[in-house]
Amino acid sequence: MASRVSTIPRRQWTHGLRHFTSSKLAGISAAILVLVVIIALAAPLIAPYPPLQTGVSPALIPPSTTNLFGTDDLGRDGFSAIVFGARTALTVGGIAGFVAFAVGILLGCWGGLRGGRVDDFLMRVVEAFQVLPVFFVMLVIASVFGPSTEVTALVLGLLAVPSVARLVRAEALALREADYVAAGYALGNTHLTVAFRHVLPGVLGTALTVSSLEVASAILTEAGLSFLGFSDSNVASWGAMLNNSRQFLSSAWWMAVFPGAAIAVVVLSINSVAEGLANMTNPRLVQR
Amino acid sequence: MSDAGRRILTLIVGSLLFGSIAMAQGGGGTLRIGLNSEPITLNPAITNNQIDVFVSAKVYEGLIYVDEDMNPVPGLARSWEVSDDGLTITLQLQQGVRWHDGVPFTSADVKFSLEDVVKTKHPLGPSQLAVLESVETPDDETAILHLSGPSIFFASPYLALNASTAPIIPKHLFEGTDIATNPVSSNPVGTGPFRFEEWVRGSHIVLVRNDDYWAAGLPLLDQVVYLVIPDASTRLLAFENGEIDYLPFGVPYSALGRLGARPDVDVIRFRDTRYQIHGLYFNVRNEPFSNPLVRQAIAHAIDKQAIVDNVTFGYDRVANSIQQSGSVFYNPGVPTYDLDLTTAAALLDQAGLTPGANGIRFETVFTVDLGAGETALKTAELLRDQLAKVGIALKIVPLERATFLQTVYQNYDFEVATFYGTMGPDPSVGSKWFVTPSAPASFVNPTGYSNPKIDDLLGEFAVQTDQNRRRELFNEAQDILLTDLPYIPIREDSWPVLVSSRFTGVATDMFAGKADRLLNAARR
Repeated sequence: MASRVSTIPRRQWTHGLRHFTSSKLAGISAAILVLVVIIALAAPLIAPYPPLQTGVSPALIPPSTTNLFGTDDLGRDGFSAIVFGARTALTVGGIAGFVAFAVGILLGCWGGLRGGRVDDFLMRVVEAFQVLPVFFVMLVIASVFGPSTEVTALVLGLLAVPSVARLVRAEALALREADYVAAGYALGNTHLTVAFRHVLPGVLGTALTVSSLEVASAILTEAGLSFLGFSDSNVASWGAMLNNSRQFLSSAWWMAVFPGAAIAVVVLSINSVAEGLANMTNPRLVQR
Repeated sequence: MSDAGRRILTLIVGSLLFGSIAMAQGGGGTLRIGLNSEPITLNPAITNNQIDVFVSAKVYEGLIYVDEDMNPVPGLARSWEVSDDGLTITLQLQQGVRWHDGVPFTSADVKFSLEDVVKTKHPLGPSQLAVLESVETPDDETAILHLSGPSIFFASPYLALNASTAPIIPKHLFEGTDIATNPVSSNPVGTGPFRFEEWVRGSHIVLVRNDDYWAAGLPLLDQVVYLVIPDASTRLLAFENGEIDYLPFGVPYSALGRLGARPDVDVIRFRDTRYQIHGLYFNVRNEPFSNPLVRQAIAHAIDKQAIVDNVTFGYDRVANSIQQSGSVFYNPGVPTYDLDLTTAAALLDQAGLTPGANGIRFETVFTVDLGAGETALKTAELLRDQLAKVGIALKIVPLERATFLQTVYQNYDFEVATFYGTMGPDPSVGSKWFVTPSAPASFVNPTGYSNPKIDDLLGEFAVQTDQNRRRELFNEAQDILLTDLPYIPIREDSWPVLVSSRFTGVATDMFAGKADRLLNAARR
């Protein structure tokens, strides 16, 4: 245990990066994700049509050179919708992941370093959130407040806080006993300084790994909600495309295949990147 | 074996069995009907649930039926006579009718059903039978209805006496019992063309031909089997595979093109769902929709035909009024609004809504009722593009039914919303959409549109019994409504159903279809 926490964080990161890129799957996945991010950012340049505009081409035509991914029942271009759908997916995943990461670290560090009643209280609150069934909470929220990408993302992030917070707290609890943290306190530093200078670098890897898994699950949940019809109809969404495709499964396969594949590829990529991150920040593997 | 597995096995064995029976007998045969949900009760006297009525109306009958042209035709009453003041209706009942258990049917059953059961226990009873004071039974074949005042439900075509509002149930089995829990409510004993055979919950219901039916030679079918298949795509698949002959509910428009092209499938539009109109309404309390010019501009900007073509694959018709065009109450001279973007833009300019730098005149929210079916959201998506052409930015907010009802009908917290309105078998039922409501309630006028003239016209319409005068009143109401435009009708729902072309005479009429007896259905 002692050898683990005394690993100098910076060396660990550079070693880790090498380890990460040496894993083929993680490398490819990371490349795919970068590509998806670029597509999302440059969506208006890439997409040939506005994603929601109906009647840009005849309805229900199969993939062709003018409509790479075919068109849906209202004559909307499938390719444009997939491209813009990446924005929605990454927005939801990104916001949810960031909220889970930031709030999780905050609560985890606070509880872990302070200990005692503060810790007890925080962890009970976190546990209370943890037992909520995510999907049903989201269904209730979407049906009460109406579907909105941002609200969905924010709530998904908050619901993911427990998994990050609990792991960070466990690490922080262990770090609190480490010599260099004790030394930090001995130098007269405040909790805040110690947390930032000495504890944060130690828990960052864990938090990043767990949060990136939450990114993937947020994207999946959003797709699931959209599939059930709880989606913001004013933005393109892969889940909503899948929902719409159900009626046309036997006549227009392209309406289901492309959004389905998009969701699968992005979620799988994020998962293998998260795994790569886990390997990279795991000192046992890095020091091998 | 799992429950589901057992169900599927029952279904397969069942359909094989019934299939072979039908093959062996030919002629009448077995009609297999796909249901989207299990009936709650098979006693139509205490329910208004579509599925309950649809199944039990083959077993129980009403006194007077309504044909496709809204004329009264005999049911358990073979003839009727109305007094000059309209307050006494004398019914002569069919002779020699027996309940399925052999007991003779008499006027006492009519008195019991109407007075003791329907009037108090049927969901529509207290309102539709409000004026029914008593039923006099001078002899077994005569029932005299005494009314306290005029009511459109007791004027021709006697909607209060049809099978779905006032089914006649056996007094000798129900009297003195709790109607809902009486076992006969799930093992019905009626006078209808089909006898109840069995109800295996979660799987199927079997009805067999009543050989002693009072109408000689009818029904033609030997057997009717209802298969309960809740999942829409499974149900559709079962129909495509020939395991079901008739799909009366929940057929998606998207399946029509594909299945309609098959020679062994008939797509039938219930001729008189002339009562359902899809469109939108405005909240006229607030800017900008408080200005009729804005509403007229939107009417000119909507391409109704494109919506019909894209959303319903051309199966529906464009709606011009709040009443379907097949109805005798439709006003063909109602003001119409052609697709005309120039006029729309001019009207918006006139209303002071000029385009901003980005070409947008104003933004508004379209609250979509997801409970109105798959078509509601698609309609909204097309409208977003159509209105964008005249500089109106439409933001779509789809709400699930319960939230929609709360938001729109209780809180009036909307700007534009989905209209999915039924006028009912008689437009007096649906007029609540347009008159000034006394309190917020679901499916009454939520728009804030309040016109004393409309209130007067439709108020008189509801109690007037002279049909010509009623037509005049409703025509004038349609003129005013389509001029003021608190509602914009877009399309007339046609309620398409799928029937295997092995059968004929299956689906006729939805209003009657709900209470249809399948008298003339047969194998080809």
